[in-house]
Amino acid sequence: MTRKGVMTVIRRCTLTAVPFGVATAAYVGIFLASYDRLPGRIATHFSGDGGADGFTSRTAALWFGSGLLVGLGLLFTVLTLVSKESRGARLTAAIGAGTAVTLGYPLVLTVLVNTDVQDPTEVQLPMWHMAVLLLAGLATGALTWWLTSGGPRSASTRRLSPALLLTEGEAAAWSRTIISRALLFPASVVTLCGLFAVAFGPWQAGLLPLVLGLTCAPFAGVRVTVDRRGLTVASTVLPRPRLALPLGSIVRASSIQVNAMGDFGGWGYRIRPNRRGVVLRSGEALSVRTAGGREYVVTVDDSTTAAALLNGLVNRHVAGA
Amino acid sequence: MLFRVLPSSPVPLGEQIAACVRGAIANGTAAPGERLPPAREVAESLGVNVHTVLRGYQRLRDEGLIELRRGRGAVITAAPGIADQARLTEAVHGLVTQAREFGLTDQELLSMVHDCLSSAPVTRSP
Repeated sequence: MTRKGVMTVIRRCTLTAVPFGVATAAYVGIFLASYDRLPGRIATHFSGDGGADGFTSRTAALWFGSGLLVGLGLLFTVLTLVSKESRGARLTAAIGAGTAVTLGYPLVLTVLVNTDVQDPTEVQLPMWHMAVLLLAGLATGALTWWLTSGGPRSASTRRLSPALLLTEGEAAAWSRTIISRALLFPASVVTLCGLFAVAFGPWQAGLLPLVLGLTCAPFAGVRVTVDRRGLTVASTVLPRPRLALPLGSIVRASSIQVNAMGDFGGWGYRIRPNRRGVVLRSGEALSVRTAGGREYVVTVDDSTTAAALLNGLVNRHVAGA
Repeated sequence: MLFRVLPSSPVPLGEQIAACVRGAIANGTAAPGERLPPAREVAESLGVNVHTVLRGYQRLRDEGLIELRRGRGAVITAAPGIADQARLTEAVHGLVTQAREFGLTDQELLSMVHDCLSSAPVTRSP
């Protein structure tokens, strides 16, 4: 990483950490300053008409509020840090700062409305504060986005794949399976938890983890195929849903290096502006540009061969058409 | 795994498919323990008959390069030296092709190999 790149990362991490730091300091500071003027149980949840309908003890509220802010602050700062210089880092930093304000505002407000109150059931928190906190969150996010400049574009790791020369009438296909243990393991654990709950506990409790686990597990193994039909990405066990790009819609293919967290903000089927990704890990990936101007990225080994074959097939398709 | 076949070639399609896999094992593109794509999918991709692909896979099994198991599909043999074995098998196939091109009879080729074997010194690995 260049020196300028390091500065960009530090700047983004600071812009994510500072709003959480300010929110935590304000919340804890105001809470402790007015601790003796708060009732033993304070109103912490409010219904649509502004009346209080949920109460928590002072100490629990203080621990919960500060724990939430510090925890999320650490989470977002670490996420921004691991995203390094990739495109997604800017969005992570902006969402983090926005979240700090959206959470900090109602937490501080809860302390203020409970101050000098004898009966917490009489505490009011009008609904219009909801609009304020959402707008303030959005504004902070936008400001952070603006302050964290795009940063220097990391050196292009796109490897140009020369087209494979295919003779007339030659049939060619490339296929490769990628299995994500990082996805298979949690999906299995969640499924087992669901089964356990269904068998020994209230079945309603087990239904959600069971459905979630069984939905995720088939996509831990993905087969990527390049052939006369184009590019196909499908689960190894289910025929559908699948991602299919017909040869006619493909402009060119190449091999790239991706950072799952930084470029796509996570794993799975990722949707980004003009970019779709089947991301099961970081590292080598096949990148396909379509005639619609969209880029499809699939993390798979030996992607240079896949890209070369796809380019060869596209060239022959164009020449033959 | 890259498959390239030429339907107009005199070499049977099944042999061509086997040669693709053998080549990938020989040059290390396909690792021991790796699963080959199911025959049905290879057939659909290349536009050939499933039995043609299966014939190629069976050929590789006979050579000891892959294992065919019901339910698990075709898996590259996870034995040490499988890449060397694939390279040797490739060389033998090349030798046979060359001999045929020269118009040698099978008996002539066999006696050539036999003579070579009897004159070559035997070296045993320690």
